[in-house]
Amino acid sequence: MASLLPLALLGLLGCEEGAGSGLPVGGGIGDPARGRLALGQYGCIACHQVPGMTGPEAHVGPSLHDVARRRYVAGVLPNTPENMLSWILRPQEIAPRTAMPDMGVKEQHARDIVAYLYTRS
Amino acid sequence: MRKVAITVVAVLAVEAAVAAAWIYSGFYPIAATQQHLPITYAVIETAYNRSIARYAASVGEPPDLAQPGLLPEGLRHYQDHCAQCHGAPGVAPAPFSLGMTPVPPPIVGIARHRTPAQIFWVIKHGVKMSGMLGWELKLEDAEIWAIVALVTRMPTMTPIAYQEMVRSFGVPPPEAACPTVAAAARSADAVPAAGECL
Repeated sequence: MASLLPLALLGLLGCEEGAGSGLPVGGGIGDPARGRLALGQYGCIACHQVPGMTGPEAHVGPSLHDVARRRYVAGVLPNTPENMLSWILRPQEIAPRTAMPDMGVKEQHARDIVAYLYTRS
Repeated sequence: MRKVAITVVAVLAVEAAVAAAWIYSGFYPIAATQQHLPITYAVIETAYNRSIARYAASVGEPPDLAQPGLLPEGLRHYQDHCAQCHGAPGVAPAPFSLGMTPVPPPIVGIARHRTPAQIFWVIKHGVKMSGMLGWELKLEDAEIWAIVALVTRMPTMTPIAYQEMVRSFGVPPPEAACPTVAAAARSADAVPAAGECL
């Protein structure tokens, strides 16, 4: 798993579009440590179980413990880091019936969250 | 025997002194950005669950939560007082609430593991050190029950059904009426004008 990580994160480099979502995505690799902070500060832990984080026993959204092993993001996008980035930024554009709200996550913070999730799960 | 007693007292005194020194030193990390230890969290959460179960037992029988008129009133109060911190199906809480420690729980699923009386009790009396205020002097009991009527329906409510209910009851939604709120929160320079949703 660990050996695949750099490859997976490379997907975050210089992508012109999120594959499958058609949403523009650009910028660099996120910082996992900042991502951990962002997962707390955007209230992600209120609904999701997050690896390595203390929080309520939340079962509103899916557990994020196995994110890197999933086939799909939210059941609608192939699981790639750039698709996860698009999903965090605009969940309701990607799946209009989703219960996941647009949390107003800034793009750099979303990038950091993706880096944390794919290195920790 | 006397030796044992003296030793026990001495050990307890030393422990108390160490604990006091630790607290007074200021090393305890009070920052909300730093999480609790899992053990701290587990202890507080257990105390919270046990206390609610005990004290909510004194709440009387709930009124008929299916009576007409209760839902629109509950929705109005929910949108005015609750959604800012707790969100709603498909609706994010306001940005200020997201960084709180503990983070206000999403209410959508709460009725799956709490009784109407427990939900009523928490709204009325609040929860110490959590940011959850008691609404006892701000809302009448009947108004709190109206909120409970809504909350008990939320686990089976889709985001679309919630939006339709907000529309059909004519309740001004703090978040849903402002689809640009999340986008505005995202860009630091977009400050909404007074009277707008953020």
